[in-house]
Amino acid sequence: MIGIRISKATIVACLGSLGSILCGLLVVGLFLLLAGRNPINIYSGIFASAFGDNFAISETLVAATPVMFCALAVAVAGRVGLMNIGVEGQLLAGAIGSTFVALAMPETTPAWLMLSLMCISGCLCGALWSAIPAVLKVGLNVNETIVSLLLNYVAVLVLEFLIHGPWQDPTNVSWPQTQAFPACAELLHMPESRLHLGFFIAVVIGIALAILLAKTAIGFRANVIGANPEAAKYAHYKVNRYLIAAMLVSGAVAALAGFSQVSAIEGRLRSGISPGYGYTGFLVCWLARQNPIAIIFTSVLLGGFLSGADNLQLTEKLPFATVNILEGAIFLFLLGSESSLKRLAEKMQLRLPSKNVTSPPEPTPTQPVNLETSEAGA
Amino acid sequence: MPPTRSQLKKHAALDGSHLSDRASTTVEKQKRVLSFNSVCKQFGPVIANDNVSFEIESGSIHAIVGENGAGKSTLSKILSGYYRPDKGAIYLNGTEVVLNSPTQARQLGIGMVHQQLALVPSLTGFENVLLGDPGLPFAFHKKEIEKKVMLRARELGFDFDLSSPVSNLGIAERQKLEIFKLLWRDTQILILDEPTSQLTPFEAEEVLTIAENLAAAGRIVILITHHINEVMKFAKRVTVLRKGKCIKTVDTAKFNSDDLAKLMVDSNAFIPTAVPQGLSGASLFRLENVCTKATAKHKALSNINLEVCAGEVVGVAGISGSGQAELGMLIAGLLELSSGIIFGAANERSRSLKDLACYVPGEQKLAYAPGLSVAANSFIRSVNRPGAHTLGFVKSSLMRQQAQQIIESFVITPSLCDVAANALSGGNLQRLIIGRELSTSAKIVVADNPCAGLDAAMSMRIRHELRQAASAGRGVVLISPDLEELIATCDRIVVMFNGSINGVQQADQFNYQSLAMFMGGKPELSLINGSKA
Repeated sequence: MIGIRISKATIVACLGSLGSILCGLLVVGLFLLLAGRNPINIYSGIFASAFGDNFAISETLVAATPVMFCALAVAVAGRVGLMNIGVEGQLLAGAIGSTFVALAMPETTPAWLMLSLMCISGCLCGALWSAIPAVLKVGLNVNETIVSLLLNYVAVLVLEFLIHGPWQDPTNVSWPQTQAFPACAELLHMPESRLHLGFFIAVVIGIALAILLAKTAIGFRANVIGANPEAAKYAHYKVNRYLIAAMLVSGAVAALAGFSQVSAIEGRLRSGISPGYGYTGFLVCWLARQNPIAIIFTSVLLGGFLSGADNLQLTEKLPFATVNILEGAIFLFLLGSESSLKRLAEKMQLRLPSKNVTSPPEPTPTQPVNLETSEAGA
Repeated sequence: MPPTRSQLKKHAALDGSHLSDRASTTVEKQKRVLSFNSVCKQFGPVIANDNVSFEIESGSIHAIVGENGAGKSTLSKILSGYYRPDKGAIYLNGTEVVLNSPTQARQLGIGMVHQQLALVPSLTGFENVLLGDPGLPFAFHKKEIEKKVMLRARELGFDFDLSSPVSNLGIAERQKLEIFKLLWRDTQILILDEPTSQLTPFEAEEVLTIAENLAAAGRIVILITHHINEVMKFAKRVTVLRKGKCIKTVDTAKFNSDDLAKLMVDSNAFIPTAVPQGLSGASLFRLENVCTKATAKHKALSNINLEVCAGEVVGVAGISGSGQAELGMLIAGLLELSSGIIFGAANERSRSLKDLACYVPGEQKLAYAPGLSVAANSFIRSVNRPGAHTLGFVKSSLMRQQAQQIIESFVITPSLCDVAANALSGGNLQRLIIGRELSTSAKIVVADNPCAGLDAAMSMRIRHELRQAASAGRGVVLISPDLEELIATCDRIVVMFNGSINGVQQADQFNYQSLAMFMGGKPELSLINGSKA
């Protein structure tokens, strides 16, 4: 495993992520104090409503699901060196694609067929949405970060157009949303909870991605491309193909978040199906250093923040934006610590070979090649 | 202190015309002496400088030589204020100088030209010279200052174009620009770190002549280099460092180059032997009238005719940027040809030689993946081999085994598979890359300046490996700006000029002078002696 054997660097990375989260909590706590609230009460409240009992945990996992999909999507692109900040838009594209099937198919369609068609259609739409920055990147070397970011806003507008226009629920024109999906379009749930199959799909994708990246030739090449695309080109890897494929897969995985949200949670398409899951996913991916397994756990943690914040609105009368502020603070600390962490990791790496450095073995070629031979050939 | 106008005038008077007539300026110049007194510097367990004491006088170039890791860079970094010595002190004319920061060093008139040039390619020469000039006022009249810069450059005898972006300048001109940048800031102690490693013999001579003249005008010029011949030719005194210790400071006039080399490596590796002559076997590839198109990054190649056979090492010489790198990339299958024919093994026409060739690029950063482990980096090429994976899963034991082999046979320290590749030093990394490429089964080996930045012993080892590869039936194409390296290693040398092959020499007729002529474009004598005077 390429990523895991470099253990000291991994430790430094973990410390950096944990430290960023703690610092974020600390700074936001300071603001809460200034606002006259007791941060300890509020944080323990968040914790209790996120992990306090079985129901809380299941709600946390529900909130973690789209975040996990999105973070994995960011990681797929990130490992080949692409910055896909458009997962939010790809999520929405996925939701739109799934909704199209749910509305178009007859209500009597068997559930397995309905769901697989919704899933496929969603993934195709997500991949299509991410194909735009991918093709522009490979073809014209346009910065994929900016294109994918801007497409987020386009996706929101397309969704708004659909639910205000052609797809609006004809029976209730006062709400910008589609009509409720038929029963066969609802993703499998755990009994007596909102926890749905999507969560497990996300975990499986995470594990599969981890294996792909660490163990297979495809993953190996992806890692090399991510670390240095020039070196990959020089080793005759098909770099452009990898970049496009990674971006398409990234879009498709993000789309799964949209699919599972409309199918399992909302039961219809409406605006605001994603309170920024894509951006939270981006944060999670960075906190987890693009490591799929770490993403699974970090998503659950951030899912806890999200679901805890829901309760915060009720019990503490704090706006939901508190969590956004918290996320922002964590991200700032993470970015700020990046360069110093790198230095720290390098220092630790340098200390590794301490036994050997003072006296490297003298290489002695068996048959020395002449160095001073200006006259040898003349 | 930034140079004031009056100071500039003073210098103009001192330096004026010295480039053409050195003798007139050396008169009545007060000698300056820079001395290192028991300087020690340790990084963790590594002793970089161990009680280094010696003196440097103005008036002539003082060279510091030594293998990789001998402590040259540390010493120069102490002098330019980047590091503080653990013990010991530096004296200028008997008074101790305190160097706590690069800024302080700069104020004392100490400046360094780094091996990796610190110029901004998109800015003009003027802008690069003025960039970070502490004497520049907040608001200034650009044209006026540029005129001053221009005048000063002409006074000092620099003839490069200051108004075009640095990216348009050749490497030698950039080197000169770096030197001029220091002179503009009134630098009196110049440290040149490997100034000629990227240059051809002509260019090197030009740059070193400038350095020699600057020294003659009363500056202290310190030359850090691997090239023993340069030292013998341009430096008056030379200090040999080995493993952090100052071995000896000698007059080059009273010493010969073999002894100097021996002092550097402390082994008998320098016993000269005859060049092993490779026996040419079957043709591995042949290029016939091959042309490539120019791109933003690459020069066009025109009408290349070249055949390389099994068992031979073919050298490619040329002034930097004459198309050598492109020729290497073409053979490695990284450039598309626009016309001409490529014949692969057994004289069969083929579109590209990429499956037959392995390639060590001229720029190290193009050849490795920084965040990944040494093991992964040693496997970058092998992963494409069908036997490298089962059902798409990489055989990690094979990967580690191969990495271990490369680590052992190329003496890579630290000898660990799992360290990130970027934790290795430049020399170790270069060996890893060369080891990886040679461990492929490719019949054609293309190595673009593989010994850049390696010390003498390791360079010899690499050349030996290349010869060995040829003896084992491979065909080696060695691209190098270093004619001596080519002469010592190759069976045949082709010389590139302006994108095409301008001359060929066989081993039995190798002649430094005529090779240098080919490099200059035309076999005219004026080009060899062509100092810019």
